[in-house]
Amino acid sequence: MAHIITRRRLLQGISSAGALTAAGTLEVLGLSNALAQTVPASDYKALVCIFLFGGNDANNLVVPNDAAGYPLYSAARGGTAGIALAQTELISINPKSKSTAFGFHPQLAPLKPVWDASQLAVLCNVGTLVEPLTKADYSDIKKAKPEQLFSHADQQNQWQAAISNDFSRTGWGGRLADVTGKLNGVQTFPMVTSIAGSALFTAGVSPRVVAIPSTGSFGLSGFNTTAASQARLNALKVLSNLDSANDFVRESDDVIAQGLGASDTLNPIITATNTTITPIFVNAKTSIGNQLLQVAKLIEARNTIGLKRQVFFVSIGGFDTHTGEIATHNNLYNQVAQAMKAFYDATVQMGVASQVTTFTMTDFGRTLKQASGGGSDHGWGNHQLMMGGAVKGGDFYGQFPNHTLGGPDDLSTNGRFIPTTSVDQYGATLAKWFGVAASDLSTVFPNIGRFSNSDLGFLV
Amino acid sequence: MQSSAHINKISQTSLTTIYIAVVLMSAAFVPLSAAAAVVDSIEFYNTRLNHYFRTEAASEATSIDNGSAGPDWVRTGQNYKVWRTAADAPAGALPVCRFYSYGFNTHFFTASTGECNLLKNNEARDRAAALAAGQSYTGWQFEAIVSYALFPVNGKCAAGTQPVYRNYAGFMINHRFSTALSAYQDMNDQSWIPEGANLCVPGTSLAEASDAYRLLQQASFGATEAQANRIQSIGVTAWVDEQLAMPKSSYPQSLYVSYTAPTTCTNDGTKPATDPQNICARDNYTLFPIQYAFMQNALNGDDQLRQRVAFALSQILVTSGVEIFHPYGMGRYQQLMLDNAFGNYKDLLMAVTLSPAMGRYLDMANSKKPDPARGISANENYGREIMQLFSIGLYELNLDGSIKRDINGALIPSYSQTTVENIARVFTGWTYQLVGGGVPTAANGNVNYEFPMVVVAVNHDTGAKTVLNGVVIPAGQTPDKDLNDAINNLFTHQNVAPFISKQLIQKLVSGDPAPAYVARIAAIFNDNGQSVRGDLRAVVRAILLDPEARGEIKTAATYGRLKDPVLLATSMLRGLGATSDGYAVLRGGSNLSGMGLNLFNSPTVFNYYSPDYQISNGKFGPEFGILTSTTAFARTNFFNTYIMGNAIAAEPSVQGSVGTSINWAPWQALAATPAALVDKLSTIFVHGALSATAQKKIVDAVNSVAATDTLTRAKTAAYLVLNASQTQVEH
Repeated sequence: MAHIITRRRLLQGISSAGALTAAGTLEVLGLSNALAQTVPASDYKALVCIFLFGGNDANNLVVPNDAAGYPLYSAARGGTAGIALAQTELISINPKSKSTAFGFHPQLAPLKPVWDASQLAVLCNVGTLVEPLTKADYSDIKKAKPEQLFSHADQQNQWQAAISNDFSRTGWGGRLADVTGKLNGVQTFPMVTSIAGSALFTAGVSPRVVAIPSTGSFGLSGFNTTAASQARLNALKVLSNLDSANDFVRESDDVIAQGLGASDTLNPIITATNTTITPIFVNAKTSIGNQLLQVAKLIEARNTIGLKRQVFFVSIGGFDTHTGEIATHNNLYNQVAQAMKAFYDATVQMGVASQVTTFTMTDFGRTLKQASGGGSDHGWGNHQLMMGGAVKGGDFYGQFPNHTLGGPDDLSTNGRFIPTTSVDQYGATLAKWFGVAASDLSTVFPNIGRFSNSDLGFLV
Repeated sequence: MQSSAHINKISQTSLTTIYIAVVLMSAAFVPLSAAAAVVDSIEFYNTRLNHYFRTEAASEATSIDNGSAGPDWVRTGQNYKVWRTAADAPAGALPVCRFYSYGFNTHFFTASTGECNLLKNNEARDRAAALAAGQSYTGWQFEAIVSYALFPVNGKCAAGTQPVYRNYAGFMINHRFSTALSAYQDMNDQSWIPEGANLCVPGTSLAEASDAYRLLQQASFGATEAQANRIQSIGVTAWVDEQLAMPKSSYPQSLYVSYTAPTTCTNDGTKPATDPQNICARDNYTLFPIQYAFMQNALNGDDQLRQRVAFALSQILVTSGVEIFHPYGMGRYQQLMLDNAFGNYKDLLMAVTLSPAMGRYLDMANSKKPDPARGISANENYGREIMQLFSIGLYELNLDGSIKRDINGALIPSYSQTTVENIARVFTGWTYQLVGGGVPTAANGNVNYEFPMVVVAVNHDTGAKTVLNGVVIPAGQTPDKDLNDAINNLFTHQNVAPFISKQLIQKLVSGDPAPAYVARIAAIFNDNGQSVRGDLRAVVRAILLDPEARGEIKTAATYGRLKDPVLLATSMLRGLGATSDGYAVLRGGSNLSGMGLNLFNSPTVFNYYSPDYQISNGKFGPEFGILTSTTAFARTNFFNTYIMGNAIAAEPSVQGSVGTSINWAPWQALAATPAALVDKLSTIFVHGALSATAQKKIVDAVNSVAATDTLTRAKTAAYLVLNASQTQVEH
C-alpha cells in the first residue's frame, strides 16, 4: 500500500508503547534502566521559567530606597494614598554594583536570605525590543519597534518567542530545546515540560514538550488486566495512531500520543508519596507552589527520566492590576516568594542548586503613574528576578530607569519605560549557561545580533 | 471532467508493473432475467496491487472468487445496488461505460456521455495508430455498458437514490467507488484524491442524514436522532429558521447581594454540602447557579442554536468568574448574550459596555476623568480591550479576514496608544447604581450588578477625543452622547465585520475557514440585504447555510474544529441519550475544569484560547490552545467516568437534581452485531464518516467482550468511538 509518511509517524516509537508499565515505555524509548543509571548526575542543567501573567508591576517589586529616588517614585504613584509603598515597609537591599539603596516589596521577605546568599539577582528595565532604542529613536519611523506594545496577548507572545517584529509559532524555550537536544545523547524523552498548560515559550520546531498537571495523576484511568480491557486499551492506542488527511485530527492524535508516551515514566514520579521534597513546600501550598513542587520532583527523578537538559514552564496569573494593586500584590507576591523559596531550598537539598536556574518573565511593565482606581496601566520595560546557585546574586543588572515622568526613559508622560535591555539578551544569557553552542544562538534568538552584548553576566 | 484530464495525462512512462488483473469474459455480460430490476455492484480489492474493482455481473464475481483474475482479489463487502438496464432505471438515467487498459492494468467507470465518447474516440484513433505501427494497443478500451445511473443535480441525488463517492489514486491510476462515507474517509486518509459524488444509484441517501448530523454539530450542543430526523423532515433551511424563531431559555435573575458574603453565608468546610450555610455560599457567591442553568439549558433546552451562539459570544465578549463571582452579576451578563444572540451587534456592544459585570471586570466602573493634580489617568483597560477584542482587533483587515499590509509589507495597526488614551476618556464617569436602583451623586464604590451602569457627569472627561479613522468626538458633549459616538465609531469601522464574522465561523463551523467564506459572511454582517449592519440573525443563518458549512463530506485538510470541553461533554450526554442535570460535569471528579475550561471562568479577558492559536502546521485551531497531554488525558478519562463508570446519583444539595445516567438499553440491543452498534455511534457522533479502518478496530475490541455482556459491549463501543480523534474533531 502506497502509504504517505507524515511527520506524526516520528512519534510512533513513543506512542506505540505496548504496556502500561514503566519498563515497557523505557524499552520503547530505547532506554534501559541500566543506561538511565549511567547518566552522570553531575551533567545536568535545568531552566525554570516562572511567567507572571497579566503584566507584573515590578515598579513595586523593586523600589528606590534613597533620599533622591524614593520621593520621585512615591510622587509618581500618588504617594501611599495612591499605589506607592511606604518607605518604612520596604525590605532594604544594597545591590553590590549600585551606590544607592533599594527596597524589595515586603512580601518578598522569604527570598531575602537567598538574596543575602548572593543567589538572587534583579535584571532592570528589560523588555521586548527589535533593536536598541532610545527615546529619540522611538519617533523615528526607520527604527524597528515591537509590534503591538501594551497588548497582553502580543507582548506575552513576544516575551515567550523573543521575536518582536513578526508572528512566531515557536518560543525560545522550545527552540533552545531544539538546538540543545543533542546534549541528551540518545534520549528522546520530551525535553520541555510545562506544568502550566500550553505556552508558546515551550513550542519548538520538534515536538519536545509534555504538559503535566500541577496535582493528581497523569495517565489513563479505568483499565485492568482482563482481555476485554486490554483489547479496549489497545484499540484506543491504535485509534490515536491512524493516519488522517485532516490536519486537526492528526494534531489531536499527536497530543494524545505524546501523553501516552510520557505517562508511564512521569506518572509514578508525580504520584508517589514523596517524603524528601514535598515537606519543603509546606508554606507553598498554592498553585504556583504545586507547580514548582512538580518541577522539583522531576528534577529529583532526573536519572530515571534520563535527560541532561530540561526546560520547565510554570505560571501564575492575576497581575493585570488596573485597580486594587496593593492588595493584589500582597497576595500574589507572597505566593511567588514562598514558592520560589521552597523550590530553591529543594534544589539545595538535592545538591543541584547551581544546576538549576529560575527566572521570571511577564507580559510587560506597567505605568509608574497610577491609573484611576488604585492601579496602573500597561507599560513596557520591567524588572525580573533570577535565582539559583549559578546566579551571581545580591546584585542588579541592566540599568535602573530614571523615574522622572516624561524623563529620558519615559516613552511619554505616564512612566512607560523604554527597555534598556532586550528579552533576547536576557534569554541568551540563560541559554549560554544552559549550554547552547555559540553557532546556534541566532537560531534561538534571531535578533540577538542587533544587540552589542549577548551575555549580561549574571550567571557564572 | 476531472477524470478525463487525468486519463489523458497518463503517459506510457508511468507504467511499472503489468499484471493482468481481470480476465474479461464475454459471459459476464449476458442479459439478466427481466425480474432483476436492480442488481448488486460487487466490490473487490486486490491486496497486492492495492487496486479496487467492481462488477455488476454475478457470474464475473464468482469467476474472480475462483481465481480467474489472479490470487489476490478479495470481496470488500462494500456493495451497492445498480440499475442493470435503461428500462429498469428512472427517466434520465445514463449508461455507465466500463473501460479497461492493459497498460495501466485497471478499470474505469463513467456515466458521463462526454467522457465515455472521448475515451471511445481515443481508442479508435490510437488503436489504428498502434496497428499501423505494428504495436499492440494498451490504452483504454471500451468493454461494455455495465449499468445505468443518475447524475447528481446541484450536488444532490434525487429521492430514493444515493451518491456514489469516487476517490482517485493518481500514483497507480485506480479509482474507488463507494456509497459508504466511512470508506470515502479511509481513502482520503490514504491520500487518494477525493472526487466527490459522481453517480446516483438506487438506495436511501445517507448524504442528507450526514448533513443533518453535521448541522447539529455546528448549531447545537450535540446531535440527537430526534433532531436529525426533524432536520431531514423539514429541511436544513427550515430547521435553522425554526431555531432562529424559538423562544429563548434564560438564566436565573437573582437580586443584589452584598459584595462580601455575610458569615452565615460563607463556605464552612467542616459542614456537609447540604448545610444551608454552604448552600447559601455556593448559590450566592460562586457561579454555580449560572453554570448549572447553562448545563440544564444546553442539555435539555429547545433553543439550541441561540444558546450555541450565546456561548460563542461569551467567548468573544469575555467576563470571568475570576473577578465576577456573584451569580446575580454573571447571570445578567450571560442573559445579555442570549438576548442579543440574534439581535444587532451594536446593541450587544452597548449593552456589554454598560454592563456592571463588564464595568467591574475591565475597570470602566468608577474610572474618572484624569486628575493631573493627583497624577491619575483615565483607566485604559476597557478602552483598549473593547477595540482589541470586542470590535476591531489589532490590525487593519480585509473583508475576508486576512491582514492588510502596507506597501512595505508591514502590518497596519488599527489603533495606537494615543487612541487608547483618548477612548479611555470617553468611558469615564460611569458607576454602579444604588442598591435597589438609582443614580448615585458620586462614584459608587459599592458593586451592584443588578442594574446597568449610570453616569456621574462630574466625573466624565468632557474634552475632545480623537477616535478611529481620525474622527473627533467634540468637547462639551454629554457622557451619553460621547458613549454613543464612540460605540458608533467602533461599530462602523471596516474591521468589525471580518473580525466578528470569522470568530463566529470558528466557533460554530471551522477553525481555519477559507477567506472566501469569511468574506461572504462579513458582507452579510455589513449589510443583511436590507441595509442593516450587524444583524447577527442574518450572520448566523448565513454561516450555517453557506456551502462551506453544508454537505455530507468535507475533504479540505483544514476543515473542522476540535470540540471544546463543553461540547465534548454535552454532545456525549445528548447523543447517548443520557438523563443529566449537568451537576457532575461541573463539580464531579471528572469535570470541565479538568479539561481546561472552567465554565464562565476564563483565566483572562483573552478567553480560554485565542482565535489565532495555531496548530503545529500553522493552521488556526483555537480550541487546540487548551489541548495538552494533560487535558487530552482528562478528556479520555472523562469518557471513562461517564461511559465505563456507573450512573451518578442525584446531588442532595441541589433541589431537583437527577444526577447523570445513560440509558444503555437501546445500545445494548445492538450489541449482538458490533458493526451495527459502531455504525450507529458513527452516525450520531461522526455524521457517519468514522473511517472504516477505525470502525474495524473498534468492532474488534467490542468482539473481545463476551457476547452475553451486552452492557460492556455497548460501553466499549461508545468509549472508543467518542475517544477517536475523528470524533473529537468535528469535520
